[in-house]
Amino acid sequence: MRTLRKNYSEAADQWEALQTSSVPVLYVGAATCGRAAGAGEVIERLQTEIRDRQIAAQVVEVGCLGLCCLEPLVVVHKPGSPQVCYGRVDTDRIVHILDRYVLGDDPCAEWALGTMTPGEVDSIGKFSEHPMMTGQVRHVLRNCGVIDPKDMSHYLARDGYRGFMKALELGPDKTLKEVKKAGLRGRGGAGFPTWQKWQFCRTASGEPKYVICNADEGDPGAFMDRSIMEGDPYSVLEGMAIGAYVIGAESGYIYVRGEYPLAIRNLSIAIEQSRALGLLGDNILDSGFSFDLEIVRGAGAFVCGEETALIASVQGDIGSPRQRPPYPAQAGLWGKPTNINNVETWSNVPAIILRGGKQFSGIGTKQSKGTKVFSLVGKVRNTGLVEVPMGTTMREIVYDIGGGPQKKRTFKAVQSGGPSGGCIPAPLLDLPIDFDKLQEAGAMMGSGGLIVMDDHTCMVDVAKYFLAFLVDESCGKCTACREGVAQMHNILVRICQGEGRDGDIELLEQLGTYVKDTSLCQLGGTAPNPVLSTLRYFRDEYEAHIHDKTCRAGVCKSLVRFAIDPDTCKGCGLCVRDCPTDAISGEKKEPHHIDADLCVQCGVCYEDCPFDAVLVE
Amino acid sequence: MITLTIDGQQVEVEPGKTILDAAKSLGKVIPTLCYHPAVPAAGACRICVVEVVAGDRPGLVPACAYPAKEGMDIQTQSDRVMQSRRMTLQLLLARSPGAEVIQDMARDHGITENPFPERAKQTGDKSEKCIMCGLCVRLCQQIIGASAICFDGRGPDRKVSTPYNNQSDVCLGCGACAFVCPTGAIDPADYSPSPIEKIPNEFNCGLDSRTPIHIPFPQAVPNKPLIDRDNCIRFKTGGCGACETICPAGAINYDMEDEFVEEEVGAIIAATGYEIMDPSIYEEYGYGRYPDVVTSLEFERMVSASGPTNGELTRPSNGEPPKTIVFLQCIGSRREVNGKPYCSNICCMYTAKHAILYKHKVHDGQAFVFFMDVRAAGKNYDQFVRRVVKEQIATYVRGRVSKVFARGDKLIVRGADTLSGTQVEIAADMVVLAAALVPSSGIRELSQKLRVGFDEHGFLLEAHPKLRPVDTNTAGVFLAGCCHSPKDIPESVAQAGAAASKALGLVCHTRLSREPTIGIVDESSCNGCFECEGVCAYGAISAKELKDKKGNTLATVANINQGLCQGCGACAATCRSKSIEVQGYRDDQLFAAINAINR
Ligand SMILES: Cc1cc2nc3c(=O)[nH]c(=O)nc-3n(C[C@H](O)[C@H](O)[C@H](O)COP(=O)(O)O)c2cc1C
Repeated sequence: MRTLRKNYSEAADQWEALQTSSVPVLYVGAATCGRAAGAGEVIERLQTEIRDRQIAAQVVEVGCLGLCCLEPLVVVHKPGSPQVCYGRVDTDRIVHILDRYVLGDDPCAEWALGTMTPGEVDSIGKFSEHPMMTGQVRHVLRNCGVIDPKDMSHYLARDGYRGFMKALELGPDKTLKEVKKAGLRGRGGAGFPTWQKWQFCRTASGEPKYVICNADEGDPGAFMDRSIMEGDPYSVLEGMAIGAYVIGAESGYIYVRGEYPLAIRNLSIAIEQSRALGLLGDNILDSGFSFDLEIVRGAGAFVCGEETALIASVQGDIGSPRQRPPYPAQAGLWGKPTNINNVETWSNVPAIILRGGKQFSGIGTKQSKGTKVFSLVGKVRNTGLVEVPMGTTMREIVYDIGGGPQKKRTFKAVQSGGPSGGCIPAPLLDLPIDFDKLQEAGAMMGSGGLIVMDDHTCMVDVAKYFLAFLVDESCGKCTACREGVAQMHNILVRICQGEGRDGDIELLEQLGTYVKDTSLCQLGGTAPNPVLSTLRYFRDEYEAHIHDKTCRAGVCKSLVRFAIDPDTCKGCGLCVRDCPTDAISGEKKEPHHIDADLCVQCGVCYEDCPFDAVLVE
Repeated sequence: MITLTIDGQQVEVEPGKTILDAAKSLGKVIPTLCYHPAVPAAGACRICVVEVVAGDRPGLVPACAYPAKEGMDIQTQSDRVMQSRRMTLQLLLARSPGAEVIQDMARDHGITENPFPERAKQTGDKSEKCIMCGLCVRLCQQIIGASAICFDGRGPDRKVSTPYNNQSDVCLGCGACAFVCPTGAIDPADYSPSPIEKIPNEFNCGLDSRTPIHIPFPQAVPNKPLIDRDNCIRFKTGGCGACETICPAGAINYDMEDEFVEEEVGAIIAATGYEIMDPSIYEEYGYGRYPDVVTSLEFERMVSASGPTNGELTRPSNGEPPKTIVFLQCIGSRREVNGKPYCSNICCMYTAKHAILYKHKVHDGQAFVFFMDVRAAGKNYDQFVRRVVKEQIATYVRGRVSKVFARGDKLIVRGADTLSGTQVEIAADMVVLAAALVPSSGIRELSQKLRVGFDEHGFLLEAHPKLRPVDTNTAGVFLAGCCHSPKDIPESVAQAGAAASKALGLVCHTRLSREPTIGIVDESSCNGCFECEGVCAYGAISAKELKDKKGNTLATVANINQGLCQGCGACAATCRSKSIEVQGYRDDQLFAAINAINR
């Protein structure tokens, strides 16, 4: 077997050279999240400045560090100094940082988030002690934001593909044992033990066999997989190669939604580079094992994340799920044994093989091992990608990492598992997060989307929102999901419009149970969750909507009337300025007043008011 | 074999069978909508869900698409199952309130009200009955192989459509989609650019259509289906094969070929029946122009309980019952010029019958019969016609019709009432033409094969009109029914009986008796020119090889089959070497007779 010794030593040299570069190196987070916040312009500006002013400095585009709310992120590494990470770096700020820190001596501490490597710069604290980073264990995301995802030498220098090579040495049986020992469970939602899935496919009869990476990531508000593919595509390829080796598959597919062009680009580059090194292709490293990969672009249907629908879509059929059994492990792609895992699952594999399953299973809870990446969004101060050990409590994520609710709001619930998940209310905040605990609470790990909601969120409206999503995303194949979810949505719309009736809650429960029970696939099988779980924890809100015709959160327009509390109103005029219908009047510094005839219940004043003087009646 | 329990009963099925198969083998009925035995199951409609209680992951599974597994314990009627089914039905009712199947199923499941509002205002369009079960789409893709239809849209907005909503140029127009649709929601005409060619049902005079695989008519012998290869998708495209999949007896064999069967027989009875002449050549009657002008044979099918309308008599033009009907006699019959000079023999009687049948169907209807004279010369025939006249079942008008034309949605029948000497016009809803009977097409070829003569109209000739009405001039060939002349049923039956006994009379003996006066060949002088063979009207002459003791052929000479020869003497007259003579009329015998006269 070839060992790529030369390539590794070259890669190590290159990496070392970058770390000890004689000129300043600026790492810019250029994943989709960074670009959305303006990283593209920042890079352009940087390069122009460097070129025009002939500044001796190097720019490296890296993936996402996870602090999405502070994007664009730039890490500056001056020779002899530790790396300093800056947040919210726009085109102005980058020029300041160039002038003051890169060319001067002022480290711009006011924008610094922390130092990333040992050493001191001014009074800047450690990045790892930034509130958003404490408690995080960067295991899957170890390379994200650190390496250039288009430069394979970076990956190799950080032990890339060593797990795969070790697997080739161990042989399929021992490799599978490591995965079993690790206790890795699927990160795509259901949490099925990965080793067992591999085992089914391995022992299934039929040739050839396939491995597929599920990168459809259709949950609204979830972007874990995207970040991994954009920031560290090699780890996905390596994981798949290991899995294929264990299973005996010679080809694999990565099913990526078309809305992820950057992920597709970075994956394609990684595949090219891996092929060039002989890590993909025929007779890899003279081991006798052949494996190659292809990217298939999905058209962005939530249901295509369901494995049988995904397979149909890869085959060029309509992306509708089919009744299981047979399971993909028995009859999957083109009717052949197929193993499908999620991006994060695959990405976890190389380290498990390299460091041993035992090390992995040392983290986490009894039934859920390792770490989990969550995308933390919604009404929290810090939003972004967080990776925590299994067993971390929801409170730690929401309050410590997320910084708690915004403004002076109170936390109400967190929706876990996306549209097919459920909500976890405040009393359950201390629930340690793992697959089974979430399930018990009526929610779901899902693929890791966490949406935080506060007292300005109406839970009936939230359920309605998710159901509207699911009505749109239902493939329409089976009656239960197509008709049932649509009728549930109808009822919720009625309730939110103030036309709720006696019996609606019972009907929702009946229908919800029916849809869960009778649907063909797990889209329908989980679709009622947002309703059932909000009914479980926030039944009073439903009752208030139906019987009292009120929406306490001030969201359901037909049910709210806004008024200004004269005692709290400071007469700042913010609401007057923003009211689209000029319904608010009042002298400056005097209590204001809302003209009910003009008010369209848009809620802008309610959200605006810095003193919480706008009340919901 | 797999053993499982359904509703407490044990059942064994082969591996690969579904729960539905297993339930069926126990005689249990599980309702289905999106299932058809010839189409791969999808489990889409969810009406067939049953509860797995033990032996597999517990829960509801679709019986049609879920494999039977060893040790499974299934409940088909548990509360959970019935609740699910009722909910499915209520949801489907909200989507397709007009679908009769769903209404019926809902009634059977005790559903009286629906908590769910109808999804959209119903316009009565048949596509609103679509419950998205996808059976048609799966069939078209996976069985027919055409992929002419597909789903368009997602979720509740899903609908059955064609790719890009264009008319499909790959639709075969086979109509299988409409055939399997449980709710009657699909019409292939909506998808196909070319008109869907329905296969006319020959037995019903093309008044309705049939499938490519069909039993020709209800009392067909043998009463078995046949495949019409010109229209069968399997033969046209290699797709489908549904009949083979579902035939429990495994009787479908696409490789079977038509074959020639040779039998040696002692007698042949020709019984080829008749056809109706096409009355559209008489433009004045409007046949072929007005859909409400039909032939009496078409009328016969229309009022038949096994006919295209199941016996309901309606106007082809608008589906309304015909309140006034006019029967026209002698259309083409007894017509010297441009027609048939003979009487078709059966029209007077069947028209009287049709008048009665008409009154049975349309109680308040009025029937008229235009006739030349009524020929009712059979036992009780005249009484039958008189009853129709007397009981005013039909008004008989003696005279001929000059023209049938449309006015509004009526057909005006203009004719002469020769008894009162007036012109009459009747505003009719339907006109029935008693078109002339003609021999079956192909009878001339048959007559040549049988060496039987035919008359100027093509009817086969009997040997003697009075004394041998069943025989033909060719020995062993007999006639029965309308191949001989127009006949009604009793006459045909009588003649057929006679022909049968004649044939039996022939074959029941070990030896045949024949007329002594037949041709005889002098083999020593015959030079084998076979001129005689060509002139023999009875096919009695064949070649015969003369051999020596060693089996070497010495000469080939004519040989006369004594059973077939009728002694006409044509061969004798033709023979140049004078080697054939008719026994009893040999030349020397005739000369002796002449000499005796002269003496
Ligand atoms: C409606 C629906 C959508 C899904 N979407 C995704 C998805 O976007 N990404 C994913 O990895 N798994 C998704 N899944 C889960 C997959 O079906 C499957 O469980 C997963 O790919 C298995 O991989 P794992 O064992 O690594 O978790 C979805 C499932 C359902 C029912």
